[in-house]
Amino acid sequence: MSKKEYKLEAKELNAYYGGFHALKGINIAMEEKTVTAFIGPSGCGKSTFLRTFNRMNDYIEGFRVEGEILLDSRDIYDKKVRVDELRKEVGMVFQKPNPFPKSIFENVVYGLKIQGIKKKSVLEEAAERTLRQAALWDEVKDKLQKSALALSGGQQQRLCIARALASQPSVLLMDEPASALDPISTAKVEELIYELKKEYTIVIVTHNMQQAGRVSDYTAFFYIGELVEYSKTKAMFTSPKDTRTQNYITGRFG
Amino acid sequence: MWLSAVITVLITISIIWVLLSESVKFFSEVSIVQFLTEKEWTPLFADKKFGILPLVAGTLLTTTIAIAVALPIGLTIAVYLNEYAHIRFRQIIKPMLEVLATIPTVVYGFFALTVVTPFLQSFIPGLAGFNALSAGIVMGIMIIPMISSLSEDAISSVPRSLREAAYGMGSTRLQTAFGVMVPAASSGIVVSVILAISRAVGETMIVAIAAGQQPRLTLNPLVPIETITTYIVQVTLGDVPHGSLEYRTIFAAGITLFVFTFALNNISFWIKKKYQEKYD
Ligand SMILES: Nc1ncnc2c1ncn2[C@@H]1O[C@H](COP(=O)(O)OP(=O)(O)OP(=O)(O)O)[C@@H](O)[C@H]1O
Ligand SMILES: [Mg+2]
Repeated sequence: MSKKEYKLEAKELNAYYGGFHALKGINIAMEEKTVTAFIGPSGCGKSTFLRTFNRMNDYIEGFRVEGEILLDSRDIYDKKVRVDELRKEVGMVFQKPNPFPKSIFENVVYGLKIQGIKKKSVLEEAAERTLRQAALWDEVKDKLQKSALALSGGQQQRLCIARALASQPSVLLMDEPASALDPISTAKVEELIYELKKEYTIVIVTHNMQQAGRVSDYTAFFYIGELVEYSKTKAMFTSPKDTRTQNYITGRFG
Repeated sequence: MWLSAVITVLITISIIWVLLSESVKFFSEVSIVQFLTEKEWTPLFADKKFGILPLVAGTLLTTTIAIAVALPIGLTIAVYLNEYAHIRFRQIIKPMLEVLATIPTVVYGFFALTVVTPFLQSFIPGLAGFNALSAGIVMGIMIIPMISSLSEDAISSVPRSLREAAYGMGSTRLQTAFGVMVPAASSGIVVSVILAISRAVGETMIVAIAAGQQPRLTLNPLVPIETITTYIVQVTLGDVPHGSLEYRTIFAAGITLFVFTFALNNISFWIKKKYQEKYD
């Protein structure tokens, strides 16, 4: 059996906030162009884990990791890795929409501008392409120069997705991207994730079991810093192996 | 409580009343057109000219130099403290900066006259002993803490989520600071600059000591000038008889100053109000 190439892997990953052991010996491997959902009760470490894939925890004082996180088989915590380059490869969408207080257009092309791309035609082309990808183009094409803050919450979140896509990442990390949205916007974001899977490897944290069921191929269940169970979403939802998983997805705690 | 409020209002009203009534008497003798257009200000000489422009030019000149010094330095400090400095370093450096603001301005004035001017003269040959440049630079140093401290507050009140968005996109610290945080904090930064301008416009001692007291309609920073406030001090300390026309010139100058600072305060108030709800 030949060794399989994974897009993202964690090997014996431990993470600490000072003396607090937040992630305990996690091993996981995710295939390219799949959607993996992280589920688990509040405080179990989903966000912490998600943020190790683009090293967003680096700024937290006292935070440290042991073990390895591999992106295309390269250790991203290696000293030679530049975090700014890493984050162009691994995009992130946050829980609360966080567009910059700039125009819609400036938001979308931000990632290109910081890479030094200034040519107007290139920027315009990229803006249209990613706004279409994020299913937002029709709603904003006539007001690209308007402030992004004037958009609805759902539109802002899709704008943030478009903004992340513009840097042409291969991985998209989403931390509860729909939890601050109304049901219609949520449905739109879910549809979008389904479409984006064709090109991107997506990891999504969610508290919504139905959502995990709808959008993900694989699901990982975390409990107090441990990865309890990781399998195909269907398998996990129909026949969870661990009683803690079972209790969680049937709503007995969490 | 209500008593102090009443007293404050009464004092304000009486100041404005004195300013206005004396100015009205002044303008009954000197026309406003002459006041605003004449290019010389020589009320204390035999050949009296009452053009406020030289004093306004002197004030604008020193103020512009001061802001040109204080804004880049103050903003850099604010950004450094916010994006780069360790929390403990920040806790030490902020009070130290604020000490700069508590040094008596007379000390700054002599610093400008006896240190900065000779230093500048060593490589600017045409620099007069009294000049706008030294006074402006030192005034800028004095208002650095004002800009850095208020800008720092403005930058640190930008929601954390924006910083995360910038870093999440692969921005470097510098790109995050100047591409996202500073623009997002721009209203607060502009307010700090306006307050700094009001402070510079009203500053008296440094200019009186280091810039000379020669009203001159020029934008050349190398020669002696006079500002509105220094003129007022000059007359107040001199032996001009009360109630004379010469004496009333200080009220006309005062009301000009009042118009400036009043306008600046209104602009800053308006900016604050306009941008207040942006992030709620
Ligand atoms: N900056 C921090 N400093 C110290 N401890 C932290 C920090 N951030 C998170 N933690 C702790 O680490 C643990 C995991 O937090 P994390 O945010 O990853 O949980 P989560 O699974 O995402 O929770 P939620 O579902 O509520 O978002 C929690 O116990 C939390 O208190
Ligand atoms: Mg979380």
